[in-house]
Amino acid sequence: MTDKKNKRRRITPGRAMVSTVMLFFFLAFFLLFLKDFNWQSLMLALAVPVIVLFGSVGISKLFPADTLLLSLTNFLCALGVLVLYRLSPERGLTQAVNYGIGVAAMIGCTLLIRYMPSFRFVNWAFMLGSVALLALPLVIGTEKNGANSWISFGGRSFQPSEIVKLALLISLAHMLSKRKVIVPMGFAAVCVLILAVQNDFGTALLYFGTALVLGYAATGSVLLVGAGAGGAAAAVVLGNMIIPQKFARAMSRVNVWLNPWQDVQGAGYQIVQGLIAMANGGLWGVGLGAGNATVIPEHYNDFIFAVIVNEFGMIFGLIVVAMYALIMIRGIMIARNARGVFHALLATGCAAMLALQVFVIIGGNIKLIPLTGITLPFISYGGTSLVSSLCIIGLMQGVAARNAAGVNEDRELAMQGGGWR
Amino acid sequence: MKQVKNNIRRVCIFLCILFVLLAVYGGYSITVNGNRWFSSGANTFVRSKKKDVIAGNILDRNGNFLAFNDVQTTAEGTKTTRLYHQDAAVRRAMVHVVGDREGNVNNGVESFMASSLYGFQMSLVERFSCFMRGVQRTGDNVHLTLDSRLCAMASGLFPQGKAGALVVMNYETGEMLAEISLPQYDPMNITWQAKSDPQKPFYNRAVQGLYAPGSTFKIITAASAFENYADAATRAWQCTGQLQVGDRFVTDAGTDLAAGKIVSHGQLTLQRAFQVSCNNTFAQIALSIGDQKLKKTAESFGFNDNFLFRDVVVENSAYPRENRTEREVAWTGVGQSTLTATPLHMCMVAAAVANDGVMMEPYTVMRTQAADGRQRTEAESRVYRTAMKPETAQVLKGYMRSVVQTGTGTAAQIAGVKVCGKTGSAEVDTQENTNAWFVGFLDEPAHPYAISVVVEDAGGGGSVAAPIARQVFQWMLNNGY
Amino acid sequence: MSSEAYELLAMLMRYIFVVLGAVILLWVIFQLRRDSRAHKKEMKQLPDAGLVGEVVDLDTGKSHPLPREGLMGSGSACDIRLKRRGVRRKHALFSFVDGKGLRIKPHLGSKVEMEGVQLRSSAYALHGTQVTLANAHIRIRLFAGLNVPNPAAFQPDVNRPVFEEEESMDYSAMPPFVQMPMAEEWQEEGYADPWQQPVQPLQQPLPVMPEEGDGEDYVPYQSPVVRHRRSERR
Repeated sequence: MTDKKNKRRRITPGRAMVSTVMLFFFLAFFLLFLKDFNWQSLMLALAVPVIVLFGSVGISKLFPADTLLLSLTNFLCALGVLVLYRLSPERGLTQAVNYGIGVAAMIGCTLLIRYMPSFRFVNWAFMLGSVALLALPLVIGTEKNGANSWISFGGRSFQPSEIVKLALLISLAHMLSKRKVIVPMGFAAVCVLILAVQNDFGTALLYFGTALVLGYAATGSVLLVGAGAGGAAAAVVLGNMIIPQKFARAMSRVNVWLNPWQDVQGAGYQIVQGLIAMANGGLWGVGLGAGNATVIPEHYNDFIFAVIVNEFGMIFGLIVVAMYALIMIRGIMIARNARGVFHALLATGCAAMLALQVFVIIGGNIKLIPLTGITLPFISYGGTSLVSSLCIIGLMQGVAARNAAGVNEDRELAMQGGGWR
Repeated sequence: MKQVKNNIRRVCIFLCILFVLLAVYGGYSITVNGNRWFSSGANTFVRSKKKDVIAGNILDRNGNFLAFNDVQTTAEGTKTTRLYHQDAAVRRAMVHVVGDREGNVNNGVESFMASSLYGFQMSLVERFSCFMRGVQRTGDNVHLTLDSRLCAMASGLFPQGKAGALVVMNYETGEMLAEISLPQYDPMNITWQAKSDPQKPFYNRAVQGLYAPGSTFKIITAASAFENYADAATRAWQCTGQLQVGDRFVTDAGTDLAAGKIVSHGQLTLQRAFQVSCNNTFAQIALSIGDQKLKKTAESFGFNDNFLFRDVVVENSAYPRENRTEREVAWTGVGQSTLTATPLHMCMVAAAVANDGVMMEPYTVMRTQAADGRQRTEAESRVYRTAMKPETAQVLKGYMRSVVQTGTGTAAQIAGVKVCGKTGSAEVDTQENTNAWFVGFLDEPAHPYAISVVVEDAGGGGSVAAPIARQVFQWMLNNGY
Repeated sequence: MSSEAYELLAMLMRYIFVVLGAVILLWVIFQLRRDSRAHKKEMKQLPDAGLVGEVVDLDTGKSHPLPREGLMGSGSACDIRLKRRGVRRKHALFSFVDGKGLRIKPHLGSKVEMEGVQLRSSAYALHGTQVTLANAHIRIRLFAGLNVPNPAAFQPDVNRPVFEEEESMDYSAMPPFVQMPMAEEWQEEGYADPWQQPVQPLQQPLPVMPEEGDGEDYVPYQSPVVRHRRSERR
């Protein structure tokens, strides 16, 4: 009895981390409350830590979960809610609701991976469905920020590419684990092509990178990666020659990236304002609630990282980057502990997709690479994006649960004395 | 399985590299470019905070107020007006460095040092004490290394109505004593004429003007000859007056092929060629060294580099990289072709020769002081790069001395002082006359000053720019520099 | 709160936020290290974790641990590494299928024999199945407790007749076969005489290999090679 009690009270780094996160969000929302004495902020100051506690520790009581991964994800999601709430309270609250939906979807994904024996029978359905869903905006899509990759119904719009991500990860991992290369790579190429036609270059880049990383992980062939990169380069060059008007947008983005200061009030406005917001923040930030990052167009979406750097400082921004890196490393650890090639590849794909997404958008923010309009996982405003990012974490969790089940099985076998047939 | 796991490890390393790249580039760009972005005119944050703070003063090296505030306390509250130096000539001479209220000049101290002037450098404790005392915050004072009297005097030396620029720097430390650009305007009285003037008075030619360096580039061509040929000093060159490159000719100043008038120097050494600024010889040198080696030397002098100096924002000088024909290479050796450099950069080139090949980083802000007189930052001199070997610098110093003694730059002579220099007359297609250049320095340990003068559309460097340099040096020697 | 006061407070709090962020990061790193140490420790306690058995190299006598999925071949990336002449860098793929056994598939037409039968596509090996990869001879051994068909009926070592000297033996010189009676004390104990028991037929008939027609009487034992279903083929 006493032993059990001691065990429960023991402070592990994970638990200490969750309490630190709770303190962080209590202080942050309380600070916002002090700004204009809005009672909503005070309520959030009490509610968000509780939600974080439930999301990190509570959920892991429901099913076997990787608590550390959950805690990290929760911190980032709550940070997103905080920053969005500070910029515009409605968006923050919507994001909190989306977070709830996302957690439910995450649990669904975890259970799917944990208990689905094989994806052999649904693989083709996944592939066909993905291509159909991706191509749907070409027929009934609406344009948003120049990318024609949105579907809207009932007044809400979403990007099919966010959902197809999951199907892509599962299908690629499944087929590559069966040592097929041509079909999965062709499938990925078709997806990338459709996205490029829709002018959604960020997502296209993301899909492309993930497919190459997974292809490399499965085959270990540098040739494949080279062929993929070469093929993409050839496609860009050819496309530029055949239909230059289609590529004008991409080329203008590259030009803006090379020198955004040429047209500070025009094409370069967004990135210049982002850079200025980060420079205003400097290393330590201007303080939560004291910045004026709302001047950046799409500050709640593509440029949320600039907002974070503006208000919390570059050091904190780097801490956030490190958190993404740790999520990625955790995903890779799960992948390396996996029992089967499919699960190893799936976890790798999830980790790589998140990491690449973070790289593409933060790199765009800090002008390391040309800016493309994709979201920062967990933090950016947007229901589909948040749900799909949480689902990716769910897939990782599923693999982790499989690993745990495998270890349990091994332990039972060892208890029986091992032995031979 | 094992293979897949090994690959996954490599994937992990790759992804980690991406994250490290993000962190390193993010940290690097915010520390290196942060102030440039912050002081941009598009920064609405600074604008929104300006009203809360009384801006700091800008002073020159002798403590003269170049920009200050007039605080009037009325019944409605305090009203602050930004004022500039009372003497119109000084005001006009310093306007490109200091900037104005409207931010017409890019990267003037008023905008580039905004983080100091508007109190963004104040610590939390200082801000808190201001808040508790209930006083309005006052920004830091910025002390410049420039001498406003020198700038005003030098502005008067330029021919009437001519555009141009002049830079004086201490070649041992890199501090700038004068930086002027013409035409100038009055920051207290900005007229619409100034805004629509085709000569663009808002343009700071000393750091933003990209000129063909003309014959002053021969310093670099000669340095390249020394780096690449051991016998460069003794080798004999043949000047025929017209060097055929392809179907065109490289000629010397004064030659008129149509009229059959050819200026030639005959057989001569590198020193003599440098003295008389023989295009023919330097074109031959450029051709025999080759484009790549010449480019390497030019890059060691800072061409094609992205200048990121502390508080001086300089346009990057360009040594052309692409589509090089022999003719262009030949003309590059003479300083024409599509070469571009700013007057400040050419001043740094002369300074490197004077300072045994070491180029110092130029700076204009000597120190910043808090409103209560406490020192906030103090500039220290830094080396920008080593441009050439000390031996090469020694020889070039002798060459530049001989230019002033008996060559094209005799107009810069001052009795009893070792003036060294190189003239230049850069041809510009759209202009009737050449741009007059003079870069030089005083080879006196007690007076370590380098100068660069450009007068647009004015004629020969020896006749227009060199006398200006002489008068500036003379003034400086008379006034205790 | 006045904007100046709030700004000061926010500027004070920013340091706290950065410190808290760094602390969170440190906790995460500690937890990661702790988890990976615990995992390593657990794996040390469970040396067979993730394995389904072992592969005995019949030529050298060495045994290799057998994971659930992987590669056989001579390359360094192989799970079962067999450095033998004729073995390719990637020779065969294997994966454990619950309820069926260890599925072995030759990689790109490599020569793989299972119990002497050359595989064209894939086949399931069970406990004790002998596999030949070019010049390498291995035997698969699977752990007890796994869900695989009962291999008892197919134990090749038990059922395979040994007949080296048989043909040269002079049967006429042998003494006639005498049926020995059971020991008396055993009879008293109530045991049945085994010689009087009827012969039990094998529970499962031995599969017979398609005849090659080379005239030999002896049909070698063949393991139950389950042919790959057509729908599963590539």
